[in-house]
Amino acid sequence: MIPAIIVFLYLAIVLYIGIFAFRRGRVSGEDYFLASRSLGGVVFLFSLFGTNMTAFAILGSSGLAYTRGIGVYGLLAASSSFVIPFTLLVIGTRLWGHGRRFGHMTPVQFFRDRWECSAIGTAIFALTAAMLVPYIVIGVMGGGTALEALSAAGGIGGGAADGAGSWVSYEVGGAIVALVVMGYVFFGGMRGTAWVNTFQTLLFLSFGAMAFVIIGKELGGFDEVMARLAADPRTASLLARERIPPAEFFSYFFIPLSSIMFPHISIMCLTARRIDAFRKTVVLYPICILLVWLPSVYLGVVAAGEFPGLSPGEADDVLLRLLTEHTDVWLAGILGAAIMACVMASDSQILALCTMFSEDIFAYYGGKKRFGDAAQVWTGRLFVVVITLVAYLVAMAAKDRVGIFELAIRFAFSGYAALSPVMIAALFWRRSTKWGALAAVVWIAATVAGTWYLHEVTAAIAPRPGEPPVPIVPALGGTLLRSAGGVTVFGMLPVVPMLAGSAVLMWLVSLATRPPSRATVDRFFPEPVPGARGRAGLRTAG
Amino acid sequence: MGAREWKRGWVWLAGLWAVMIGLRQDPLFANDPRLLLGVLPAGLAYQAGYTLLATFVMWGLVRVAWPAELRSLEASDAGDTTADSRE
Repeated sequence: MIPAIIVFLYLAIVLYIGIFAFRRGRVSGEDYFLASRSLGGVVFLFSLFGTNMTAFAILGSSGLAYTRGIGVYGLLAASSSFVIPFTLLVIGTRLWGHGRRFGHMTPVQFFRDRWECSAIGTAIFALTAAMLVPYIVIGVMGGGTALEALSAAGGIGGGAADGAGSWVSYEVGGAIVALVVMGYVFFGGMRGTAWVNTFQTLLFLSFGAMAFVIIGKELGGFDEVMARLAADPRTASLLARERIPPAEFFSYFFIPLSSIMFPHISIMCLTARRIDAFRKTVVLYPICILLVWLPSVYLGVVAAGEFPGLSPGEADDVLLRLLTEHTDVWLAGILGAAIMACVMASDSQILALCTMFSEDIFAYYGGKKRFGDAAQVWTGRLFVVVITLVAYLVAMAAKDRVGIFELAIRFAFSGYAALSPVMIAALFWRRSTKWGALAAVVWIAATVAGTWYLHEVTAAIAPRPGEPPVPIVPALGGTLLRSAGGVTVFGMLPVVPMLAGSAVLMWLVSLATRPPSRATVDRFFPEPVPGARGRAGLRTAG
Repeated sequence: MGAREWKRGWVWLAGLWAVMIGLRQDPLFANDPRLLLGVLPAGLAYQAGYTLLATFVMWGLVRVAWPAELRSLEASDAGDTTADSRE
């Protein structure tokens, strides 16, 4: 019961920070949705990092390391340590600049202005919003599951499968988490959400390190644990990258391109007060990744020796199991709060969806002009309530189908990553056109749906974990394979062909269609590159 | 920045990506089960080192590829909405 009480105390602190700690008098649209573009360097770094750290980074990475070994760190953390800060430097700073110059509050506004087209903004809005919804649902599901587990009478795993041994049920836990998140997003907007994320990031960075040291001590030292793992033929392969094929490992490099394309990350890029806030974030981001992911992956491998034989689903709990078995109840409670901090990452996603609805739909179609700034903020707040309620109802109805939402998130990662050529073209290529962007968006939507379909229809032939992949169409040989994890193309994740197809379509279709007017291009490229005008084809545009 | 410098900048960035992708593949320790200091698997130590390398790369990039021209936007108010097609 003590861990659950500490978690409730944590939720109360979060609610206080989000609602009251940084409240301002009158709230304008820009203040509510973007914190008046006023975030300083430290808050910008920690809130951006905290927003990017979902439950997967802590719980999922440990669970994956339990089954696939230390290679999980290189799979996602190492690639993220380069790709995410790189995109923040190259893309995030430019988005910030356009936001300052033209007053954009969402990426959709930028796309609409850049290509002089309402429809392309609407298409991108529909695709990005649809891919964001599963994250919000799974945030509520994670909250319910975590509170149920933390309040189990016998610690983690002490409750019955139906939650009978816990004094907070899945339904009540999900409702509490949804209400807390809704509370501080509703009242605090971006400012409240950013400060809560900063607090949460500091919590899981500091207490995560503490947990690592204490668990190591309780186990008799990590050297002994590692020696045991190396000596056991069942676990020795976890200490190398044997369980991750090189082609799959390579293709994971492109997944972090999704980060900057998530609406909540690109919108957060607009909140910095100064461009220098990016400088600190870009340089320190890899260190933050190291501090969170290295202990998580390492403890996941350690858990393989401590709790052998767990299924992939059960393996997601290994960090919680290690905490409850090797720390006292007080520390387990504090660390449970740190885990809740990750699970509750849906706050930024709810706010992003509400910002997009308020700006890209309500304001764009004349609502703000007709009803005023205050009405826009209240529309946004109403949307927060509606989206949270819908997410809660879906999470309750689909309690036993969490796998569907996890699958949707995996496909969404690929979808967002494949959108990055659209953003790069909009920011850096004068000759890019709305038709090129539309072709890329249609390609992404079709390939996400197609991959999901292939994944579902090949479920019956899917090999078990550890078994080799099987061809989906035997005549095509190794082109399309079904592995235990999903569909692969030449042994790589579908994100590689999706990304390549998106880039090629953006390029070819742009060259074949009429570019935006010269006035618009000059507006977004105020200092034209000498000699580039002819290649950009602007003369034909005029 | 001239067109040639602009193009050279992109070629450098593409080269940097190729190098970082190649280094992450880890041809040296990927399948090496040895433990450094008895606690850290060699492959994990390599990838942790890669993360530190990424920090230095970013430190270098913010020096040579920093969009300094954006600094002028800090003082100005947001909302040059004269040509904004939002509403």
